[in-house]
Amino acid sequence: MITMDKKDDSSFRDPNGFVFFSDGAVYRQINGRYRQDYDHLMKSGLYAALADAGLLILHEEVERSFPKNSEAYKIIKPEPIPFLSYPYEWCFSQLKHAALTTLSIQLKAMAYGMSLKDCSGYNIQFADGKPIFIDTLSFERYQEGEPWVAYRQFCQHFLAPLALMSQTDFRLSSLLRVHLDGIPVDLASRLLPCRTRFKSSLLLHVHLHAMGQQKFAQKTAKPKHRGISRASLAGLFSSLESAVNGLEWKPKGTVWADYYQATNYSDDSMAEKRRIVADYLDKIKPRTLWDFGANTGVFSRLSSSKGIRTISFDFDMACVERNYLESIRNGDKQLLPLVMDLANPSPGIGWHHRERKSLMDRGPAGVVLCLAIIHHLAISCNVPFARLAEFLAASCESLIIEFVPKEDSNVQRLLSIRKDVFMDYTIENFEKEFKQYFSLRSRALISGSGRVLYLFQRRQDTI
Amino acid sequence: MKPSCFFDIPVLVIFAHTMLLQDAYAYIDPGTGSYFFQLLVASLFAGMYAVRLYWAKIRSFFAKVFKWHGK
Repeated sequence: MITMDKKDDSSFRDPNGFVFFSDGAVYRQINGRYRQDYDHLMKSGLYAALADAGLLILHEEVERSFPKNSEAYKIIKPEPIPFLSYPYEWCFSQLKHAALTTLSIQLKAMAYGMSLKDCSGYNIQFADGKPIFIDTLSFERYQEGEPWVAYRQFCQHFLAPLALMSQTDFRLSSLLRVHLDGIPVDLASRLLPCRTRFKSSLLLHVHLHAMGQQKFAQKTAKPKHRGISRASLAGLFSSLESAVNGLEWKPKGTVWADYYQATNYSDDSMAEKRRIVADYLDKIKPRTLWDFGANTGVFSRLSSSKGIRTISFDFDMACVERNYLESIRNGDKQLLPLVMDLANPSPGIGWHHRERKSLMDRGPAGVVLCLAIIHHLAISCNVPFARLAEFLAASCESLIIEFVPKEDSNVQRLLSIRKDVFMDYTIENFEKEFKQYFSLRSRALISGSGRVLYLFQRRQDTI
Repeated sequence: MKPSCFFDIPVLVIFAHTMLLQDAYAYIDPGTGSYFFQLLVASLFAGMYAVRLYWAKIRSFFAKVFKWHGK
């Protein structure tokens, strides 16, 4: 008998079922009203086809006796997703791959007489290095002549943000954090440059779509209106696929993406730093690691190569893009690069502030890696050591952190354009503040750099 | 060879003209708008898809016609 500990805060919109937790595992209840669609998904061969292609999350049906009058038809136990990420944390190629995955699923669904009834970007998660569809209840039996009900959502969640990132400015992906149901096409139409009106796919699916929304806003659907042939739908999907495939973004020219070409480390010092970090990881043997300020993921890969599930955070999308493409080339299943500004990390948003979790709600990690970032947080962002230590103690059980002294050329560069009001920025003060939350396990000077690598363990009395 | 995007543009411009003749509404429901927009362009999708699918045949047909007239 399964007992429900808690319903998932983001699973309440679909009357066909919901996600809940029991003994730390994730389950999904399927309600009686979804019975025919679920049975069709399982018996038509669609589930097996999607599962074989690695497009849909696997699940097993769980035996359970239901209380009388329960709406439940079945309980399924999906495979767990190691770390939930959201579209506003993805780089360009992650969003593009998520869009193409969604379209592949829709095409397969049509071949088995089903269709996706929603197309939210939040239905995609990254597991084992690739996008996978997680909402088993999004499939409905296709009715001949019905339009694709998820068309608007696809354009808002995928096409509009990709077009804006590719054609206007990649930083506009942050609009996804404001518009949880995707970027409205009329807003995208206003923000896209005029030249995109000469790109047939964007003219149709963004600009004309926005005009159509306004023109037909007050119409009411009548049965006679329904009449889209399969050929038309095939044309629609093909058109959307070429629209997505036609959008490109090449990361270039950001200061951070070229960081490792301009670092003030000698080859020997860098090799020593890698060896010390590797030693620390071997000492702790964590299952999960968050790399804060990961840049293009050089040290994240050191962690993922040891089989540690690694989330690689950086605020620069160019770095995250390079990191993601590199991890695909390497077939790295343990590494997930994400866009995250540590000075303003993802908050809890959506209904009741709980629909999409904050970064802290998705932790803590076994280890946090903070290499060559402390001076940016302490000096560029004016975050005192005490606040930094408090934040990091809430994020992890163990901490590997690099202290960069004031004499370091990179710190001097930061100080060259501002008044030095950072009298507390000393190694003594750093150790004092961090020992409020952590026990010191090890420290090592990186020769030739003046920088020090620390291994801290969170103190139990601070939790 | 597939037709270039310029092939589609005249069709889309004519289509856009019909869209521009519209009333201004105070309340906009993008879901309903998208639904009817999709219905309106359905035939366009079918046409474009068919042209892409049979582009080679259409091209060879016209090539034959012009060759015949040229004789």
